[in-house]
Amino acid sequence: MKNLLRQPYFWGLLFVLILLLTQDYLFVKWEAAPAFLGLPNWLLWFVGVHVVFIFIFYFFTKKYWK
Amino acid sequence: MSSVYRPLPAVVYFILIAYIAITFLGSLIGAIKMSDTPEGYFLANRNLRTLTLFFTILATNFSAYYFLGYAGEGYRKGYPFYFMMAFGTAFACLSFYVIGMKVWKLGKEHGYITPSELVFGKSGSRTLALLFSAVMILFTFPYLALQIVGAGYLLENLSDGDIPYFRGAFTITLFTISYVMLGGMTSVARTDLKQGILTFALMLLAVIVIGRALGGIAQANEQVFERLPALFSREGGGEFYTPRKWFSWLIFWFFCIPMFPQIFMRFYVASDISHLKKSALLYATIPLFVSMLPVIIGVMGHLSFPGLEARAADQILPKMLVAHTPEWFGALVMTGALAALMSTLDSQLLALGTLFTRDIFMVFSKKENDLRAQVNVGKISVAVFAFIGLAIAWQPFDTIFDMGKMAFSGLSVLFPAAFALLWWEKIHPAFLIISVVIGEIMTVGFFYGWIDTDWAFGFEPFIVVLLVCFIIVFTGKIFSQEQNS
Repeated sequence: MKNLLRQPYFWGLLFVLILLLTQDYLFVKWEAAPAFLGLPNWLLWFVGVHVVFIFIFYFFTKKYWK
Repeated sequence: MSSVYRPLPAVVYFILIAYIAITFLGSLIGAIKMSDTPEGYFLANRNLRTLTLFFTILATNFSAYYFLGYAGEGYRKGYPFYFMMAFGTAFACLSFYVIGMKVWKLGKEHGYITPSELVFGKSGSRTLALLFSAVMILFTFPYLALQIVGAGYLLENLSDGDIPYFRGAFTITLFTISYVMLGGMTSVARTDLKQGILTFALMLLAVIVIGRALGGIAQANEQVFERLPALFSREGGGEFYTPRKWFSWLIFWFFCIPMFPQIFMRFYVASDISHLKKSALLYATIPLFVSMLPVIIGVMGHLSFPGLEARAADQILPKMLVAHTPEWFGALVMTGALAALMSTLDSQLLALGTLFTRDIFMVFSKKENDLRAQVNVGKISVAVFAFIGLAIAWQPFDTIFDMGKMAFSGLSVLFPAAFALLWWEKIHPAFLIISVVIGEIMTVGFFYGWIDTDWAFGFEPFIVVLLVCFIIVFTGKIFSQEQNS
């Protein structure tokens, strides 16, 4: 695992994966409706993806970016 | 420009003047602390720590475009714009690693102050270095003018037309020139920290107050949804965000943001690499929250001001503030907006002044050892560039979004060449020059319609331009490798 975290390709792949998750039209079609605070329901998916991105970037700065 | 509002109480002017006085005082302190050397004036002695570094990067990046452009685009395109900006901006934190880390190291080792000095140091080509400077100066002008336009709009709305658009723009420009000339980067960074905190705190309050005035944010959103469901759809108003456009905009900021000269130069000023890393992490996090605020106001704007188009939609935020909040509160938030645009304007002016002094004046005048002359020329060029921006603001583009797009696309063209210089050894500079020249010709061609947008294949044109630039640079890498071997 330690070796894997030092591989640039591993991190590159993770960030590409995150970018793919933002291309939601590849795997879902949303029916827009107001949800929390009247914001569109699909926005929650993107907020989730953003949080995952922050989490991964945090580990990137700790484990890879020296 | 239309004016819809109430008589202006003295408290509005009091808040404005108090803010200007406090900012100026901060700059004076910055000026006292500044050492009178080019590194002191232009780079705050490379001594910024996490919080100041982060806020100066954030405040530099969140400009009039944030207050007026985000709200205007929220009004026109709805909620997809929020995520496009929030994630797109956050994703650009990866460029702190790809570009920023290397720039910081090389700057520390060789004492570089401008991007072009690094380009010359890595490539040995004076032509390429000058080209970098020229592109950065030229394409920063529309973005710089955008701040001045924003200042004009804000003051005109805030004063109910008492301060006409151009007089407001002129006043703010003059004030910004004065504190940039006074204290350089130290002043700018100190001001950015205060302005950044003020901007976001006031924007949050504005959303809450306007939301309450409209019966609550949830209820207001539901009302807009009933009238204009397109603003809540995944594609946004006018079905703007097709899959290819969505992809284009999400990855664009990664290439664009590090090529702003004012951001590129901030990679030099971290006192230590750990501060750059922490700033990058904050940069990934904060847009998730702050990008939402003006977009909500823009969307809710349809309840109070339906049917606005182009430039009028860009003024939705001040219109909503004046219509739904007490005068003193509107004045306070718009002062926050002025803070945001001034924190970008000051950084841009300082960056352009630095580029001109170090990359053009010093190279051609051969006054490399006259440190005092460098600082003085830097200060004079700040004023000259500010007045050029003011001249552009006399006749602004159709929308703030258009002005930004032109500047952003032109600057992003530099990314492939910068990446190649930082990560690949011994690439022939001719290929980098060709990549920048072809890229800029294509950018201008697409913008003015000389190249048909069909050639973008449904993507935003800047994606095709970037692809062409990368192909040229990669060809250069293969060619240079063969030649070396």
